[in-house]
Amino acid sequence: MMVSPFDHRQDRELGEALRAVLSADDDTRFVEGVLARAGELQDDVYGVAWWEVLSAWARPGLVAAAAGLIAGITIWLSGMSGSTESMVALGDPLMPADEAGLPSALFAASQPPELNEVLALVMGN
Amino acid sequence: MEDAELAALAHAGDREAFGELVRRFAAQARRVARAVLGSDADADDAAQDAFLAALRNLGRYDPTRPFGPWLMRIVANAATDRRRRQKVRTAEQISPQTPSPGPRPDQVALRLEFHSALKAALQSLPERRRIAVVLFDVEGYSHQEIAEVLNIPVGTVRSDVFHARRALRSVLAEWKNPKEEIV
Repeated sequence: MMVSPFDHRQDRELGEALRAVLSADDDTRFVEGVLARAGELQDDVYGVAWWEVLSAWARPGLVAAAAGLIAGITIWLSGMSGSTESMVALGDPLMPADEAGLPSALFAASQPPELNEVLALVMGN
Repeated sequence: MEDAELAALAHAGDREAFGELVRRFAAQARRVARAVLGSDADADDAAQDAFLAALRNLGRYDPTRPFGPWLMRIVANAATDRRRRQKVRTAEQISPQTPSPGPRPDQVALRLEFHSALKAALQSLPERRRIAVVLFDVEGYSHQEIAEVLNIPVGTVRSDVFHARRALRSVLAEWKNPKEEIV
């Protein structure tokens, strides 16, 4: 059926002729090209810029560094002020029993001493 | 899945959804770009630019409206911009087509000649009329949708389609009667 230029319906015959003239071969290759270009531009389109990645890591990084610094200073200061006590505390078990203030009889016995015996020795000491 | 849903997914970073949109609209976008640009290579470049521009601007797409006209507006703009930038108009190309085993060589030659004449008639039209008639008669868009694509009143679209049809119909009639089979 002939369609008048005044007709408000689609002119199928003209449409098909124009489609044949304008249609391109190989849409698949075109689609692949577009998607490849989109992939190349992924940082612009989907991703984030490198400075945004760094700034995202900056805050936790600073907090971790500050915590480490505080811990280091605390350990260093405590080491300076209490070094003598800690050395004595470490040395006690290695010292001879007499020097540590414990009766040598307690260590010389082959059997564990009775509680009363230990208390008597300690009180007597 | 609807175009608007795919657009929302693509906007959220779903590349598969964007790929599906490109597959759906590739042929249409290439035809509209070809209606504006004489060179097929330029038309494909413009269509590609349009898809990438659409991807970047998916946030501006209103999902309550059809996706096709929104995209076609970008395609038409990309093609028009490219055409304006062209300093030297490229010679019209006849796309190389391998003769299929069906029709005889003389029929193939006639078809190519007819296509060339129709394409020349299309290219002789003002750009807006070309886009309007292709969107209406080839792609099936409504006058209202084309008005949105071209940012012109609906009445102007009707007028453009009418004038374009009249010019193209004369070429069609010239070729149709003696060479009925070539269309």
